Amino acid sequence: MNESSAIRPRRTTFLIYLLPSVILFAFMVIVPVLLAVRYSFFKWSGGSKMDFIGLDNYRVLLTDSYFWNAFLNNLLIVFCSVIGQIGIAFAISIFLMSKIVKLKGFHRTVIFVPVILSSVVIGFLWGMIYNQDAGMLNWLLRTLGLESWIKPWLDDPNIVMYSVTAPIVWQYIGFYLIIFLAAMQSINSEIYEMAELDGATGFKKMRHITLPLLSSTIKIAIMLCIAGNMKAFDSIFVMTGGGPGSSSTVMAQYAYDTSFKAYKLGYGSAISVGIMILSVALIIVSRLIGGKSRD
Amino acid sequence: MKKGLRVMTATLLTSSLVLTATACGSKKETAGKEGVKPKITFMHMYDKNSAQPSHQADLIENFKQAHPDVNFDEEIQSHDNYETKIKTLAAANELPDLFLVKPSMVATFVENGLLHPLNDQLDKNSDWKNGFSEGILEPYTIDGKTYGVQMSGGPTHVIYYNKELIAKAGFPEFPTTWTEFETMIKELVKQDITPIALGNKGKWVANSSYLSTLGDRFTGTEWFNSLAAHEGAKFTDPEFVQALGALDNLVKIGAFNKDMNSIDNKQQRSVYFNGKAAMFIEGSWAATAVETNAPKDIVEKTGLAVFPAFEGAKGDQNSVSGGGGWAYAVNANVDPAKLDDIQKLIQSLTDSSAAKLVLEYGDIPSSKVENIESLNLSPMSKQLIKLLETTKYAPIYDTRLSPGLTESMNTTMQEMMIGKYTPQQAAEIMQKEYENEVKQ
Repeated sequence: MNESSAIRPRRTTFLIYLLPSVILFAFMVIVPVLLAVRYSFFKWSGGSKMDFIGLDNYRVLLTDSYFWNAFLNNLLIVFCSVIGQIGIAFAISIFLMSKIVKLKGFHRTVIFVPVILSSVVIGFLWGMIYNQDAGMLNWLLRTLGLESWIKPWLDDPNIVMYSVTAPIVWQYIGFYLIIFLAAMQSINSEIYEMAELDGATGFKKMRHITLPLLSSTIKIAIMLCIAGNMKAFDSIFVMTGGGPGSSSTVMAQYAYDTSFKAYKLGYGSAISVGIMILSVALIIVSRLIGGKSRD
Repeated sequence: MKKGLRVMTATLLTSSLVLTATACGSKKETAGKEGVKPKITFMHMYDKNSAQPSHQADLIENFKQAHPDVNFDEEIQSHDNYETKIKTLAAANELPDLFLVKPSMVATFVENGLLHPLNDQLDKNSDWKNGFSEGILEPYTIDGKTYGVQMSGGPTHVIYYNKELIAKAGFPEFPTTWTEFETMIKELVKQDITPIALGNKGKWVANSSYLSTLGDRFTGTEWFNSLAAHEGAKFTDPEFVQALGALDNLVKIGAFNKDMNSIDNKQQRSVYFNGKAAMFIEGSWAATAVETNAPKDIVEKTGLAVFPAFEGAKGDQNSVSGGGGWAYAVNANVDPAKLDDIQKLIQSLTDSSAAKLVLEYGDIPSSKVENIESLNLSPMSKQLIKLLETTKYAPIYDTRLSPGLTESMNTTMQEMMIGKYTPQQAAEIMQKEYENEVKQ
């Protein structure tokens, strides 16, 4: 296999080419992660004084109701996003693949625009939409005569999580749309033609051809979705700052508050490690549910 | 060819290494040249070109002009970035020679040996040292050593009220007792006016501008000192729970706008500026904002007050949380040769002549100023100074207590204000966090 006649650089050359990116990755990802793990064993307030306390941070973390409450909030976002982002993106991409829709490029661009906007901008935008007096949402409800539906969207602890999840779902639909469109375009059109000859209609084509052929893409999308939403932070931080109280605090914000507001960098690191473990666990679970695929 | 490539990669990598190495080296060299004074590294947040001018930027500029031989390596950050950056630098032990700290940072920084005590510097000039308002350096003092020198520090609690709106509610004068105050709020609610505009998204407003004053009125300052020194005072002491209860009761009688937890302190001012709210409560720093941003008729109608007296409460009924705030601090590892110039600089930024400029900018200086009448002050500043003549400062909780405890208090109070906890439960949670901290 090695001795084919094609021009192939030697192994060492490969390694040298890889080296810069490996070094970059190591310093930007691996080293910080390892450092975080190390810090999580200390009581550390950010200075030169660090007390080793072993697993104490983790012991506290296990019974920290704020952390688990934040985890539930993350789970809610993940759940809504898997259904919302991936589901809606899948539906839209099927529409965009069909022959009826005009101006496909336009639709694709418009749906993709929120993805490239900074989450902070999204947070401000939706913060304004939800605003009590001047917000677009309440204005819309008022014009439609639905005054009774008006709620303090970001101030009611019972609904605030849904209010802050909506923008996240909305923002990333475009991202999955592009992934699905790319995958669907790579499906050989002959398969569809054959199916049409056999009498398969729109829905059946989707159910029996598109979906199975896209299953690995969907799995990747779900994984990205979980990983992305476990670290959701910025737009919520801008909209509510985690409030009221801790009702919309997600894990990443709890880690941030603990580290940089309360100055407990050791415990903050332990929370970050906790987030990492929970995220990996969730992804593994999703792969298991996804079935033992051949890939 | 392959060999050529390898050589090239190797050269590139090595040369990039050498380049970075020399870049680091050259920085250090310039610092040590003979004859020229070493550069003072100075990080602050007062940009002279900023849209919002500040007295400190002017003062720093004045100092530079008066002392052309002193060299600076300045880094100027915006307020929010500054706070993040200084904490990061502290964590990496790479603080500049001179920088700004908040009282809550002092204990942590001192514990890590990052701050240089400034007592010797203060002793060099007794006019400067004795010119400070009483107790103003207390928040920066640990075990008799002062680590920070403050330029301005007003109260964190001032009620800005719309005279016309409260007159309509039957109060031509601001109420003098808490019962009257609550009656006024109920009356305003009836008239469909938001009594107090509150923007507590940042979570510190309720703690800094409300509870610090309320708490002191009920518990007295002794309680706080005992709490801070771990000498027996508890959050669950009935007086403190009463203070929480007073705040909770304000929520219950509808004193605040419904979206109080999703708007911030700047937005709370807008509600007031629009004439939709009768009051808002913030520190003296908001006075400038009222003058520059509010419509003229609102500015004219605005009166200043503090919380009225509680009948039968234990603390002094004229106390207002105040003092504390950003202060100049010096790196513990500072080159002693720089200390003289640093002392001169800090003095020029904080002494009583600096204080005049601070007043003219509408802030409350930390040094005393004589002949206030001769200064050209805005009506709002004059009102504020007059108001402060009758009050005395109480500690600001969120600048004096540890950051961890503050964070816990802020969140817990917000949860109390949305009805998740009763005042008693909230106090218990704070106490638990407090005890955890003492234990460690």
